[in-house]
Amino acid sequence: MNNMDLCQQLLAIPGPWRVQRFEVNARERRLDVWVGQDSPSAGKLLRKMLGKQEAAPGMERVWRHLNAGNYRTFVHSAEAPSHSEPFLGTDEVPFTNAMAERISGLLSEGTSYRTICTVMDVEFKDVWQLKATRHRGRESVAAVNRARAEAEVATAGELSEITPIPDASDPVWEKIVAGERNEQIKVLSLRLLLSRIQMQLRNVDDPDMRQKKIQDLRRYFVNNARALRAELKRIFGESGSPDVAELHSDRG
Amino acid sequence: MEDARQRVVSPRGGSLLGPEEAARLIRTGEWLAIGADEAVMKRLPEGNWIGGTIPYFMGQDGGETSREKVHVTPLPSLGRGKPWIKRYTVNDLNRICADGPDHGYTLLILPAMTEVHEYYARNAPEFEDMFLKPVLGWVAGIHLDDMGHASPAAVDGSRGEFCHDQAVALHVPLPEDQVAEIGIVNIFEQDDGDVIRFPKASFKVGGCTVNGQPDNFAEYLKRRNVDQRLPLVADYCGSMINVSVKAVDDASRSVELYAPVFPDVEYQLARPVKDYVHAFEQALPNEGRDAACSFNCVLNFLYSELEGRRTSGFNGPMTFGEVAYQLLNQTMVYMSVRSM
Repeated sequence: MNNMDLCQQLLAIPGPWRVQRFEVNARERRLDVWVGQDSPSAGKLLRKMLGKQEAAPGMERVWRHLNAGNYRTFVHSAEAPSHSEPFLGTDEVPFTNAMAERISGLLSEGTSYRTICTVMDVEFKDVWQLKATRHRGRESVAAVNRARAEAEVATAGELSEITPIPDASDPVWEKIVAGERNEQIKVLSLRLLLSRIQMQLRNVDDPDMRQKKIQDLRRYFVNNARALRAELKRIFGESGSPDVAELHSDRG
Repeated sequence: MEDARQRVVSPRGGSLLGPEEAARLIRTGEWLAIGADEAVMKRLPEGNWIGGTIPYFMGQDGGETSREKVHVTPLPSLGRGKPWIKRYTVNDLNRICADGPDHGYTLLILPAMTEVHEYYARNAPEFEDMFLKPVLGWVAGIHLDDMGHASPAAVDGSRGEFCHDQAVALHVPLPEDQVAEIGIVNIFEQDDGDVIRFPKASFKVGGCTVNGQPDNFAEYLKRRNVDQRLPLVADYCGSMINVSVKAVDDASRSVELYAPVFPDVEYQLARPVKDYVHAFEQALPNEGRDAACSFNCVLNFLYSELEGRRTSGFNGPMTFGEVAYQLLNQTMVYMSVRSM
């Protein structure tokens, strides 16, 4: 195995992608890797067939990737940005998709910026840029999902039959994440999601973190509203009272 | 499940077949989930299927160990788009839910005792969109006589490729008026005993607390003379989730588990079960009976001596682990597809 193959294997880059060259700077603990397709013409042809945008010729992008041991790793590529390849990134954030996922995971766990910057050896401004981009993306996805779910319900003429989902500021959500409505919940996915959230919030007082988890939970209900008719009635039923809701439940 | 207007639209379930019959089904072009021993699975044609190696089954004639038969489950599909197969490594497995269809489900097969298996077990609850989209599946295994000289594989049937270090997923869109519902049947309940907690997520544990007091789990099991076939059970808002004991190592005072325990979760040992078949049939809800797709744990097959015995209402592979969103042990997982 030559050095190029070793580098490719260490960074888990699958074919037809290839490490074209790399540079190691021991003093700065920095590894720079240039990545491209095996056959540029085949890659271009595939992109053309799929109707994907071509990267401008020679327009090289660079993303910060997961560390290789003690070395900060940077991936360079003149290929088009990617939302799916872990070792590439997009124009919106300075990290590869794999690095962005790792940092997002830490952020969602409530890890502080300072800790993330220290542990991952990254710049505060870059983490902030990632968080802002993800937040915008989530908000728009959530808005689209909400609009779609509500439109579907309205189209089916069923709006009056589905218990409305309270706004994220409604106090009922605090009761749910505190475990006060656990007995009303029968659906497996909701039980697992709620358990997770309750564990994550058990010793957390940060209001931003609590609000984020409540929004995640609300998104679950909005996305699944039609399938969760009985669940919604039990949990948010008339007056939000579980006792009243239970009377309307068709299962025990 | 919850509404009289919601009716089952795919109540077919699977069958244990000879390889020729399985091949004929594959050639119809229908989307299938397949379980079989590796040698017989290699004789199947390429097509619209994913699979996993396993020689243990609950078939139409009862529990069976077979290296010759093939368990085939036709999958509910007919959504707006075609189902698609994707293989995952530890580098992108965290995208499995995000990759899934907006409306449909994902069937995942993980090869046992691999990095992807361990990664999924530890991290699945944190994946983007986890619990928002239905994900179910199972862990492929091998005949226990082959331990040490064979390795489990997840199979991409569209290319006839056996993946010993990758997971294989089938993402299936459903029509907008249908919904996939995943359920579990776990006959084990928490006993009214000690509350056990562990300090970190791990497949191998030593130190723990028992009722808040520091202890060692291996010594605790020995001291209490615990039947190691009984899993640890945690209560997830009413759903009982098991973690099964694999082996106790007296020398290192540690216990190996088939799934990781997690910090912040309270575990109790399971209450002993006298008759698995009876307990299972009592626990199986109507919506789990003859579900579109189901699988059960090989530990239930072995510990409850199900070979030659029938569990009415369940037909599927007996697996090295089950996936209902997160990795489970000693549990039956099923999926029904219903109209809304």
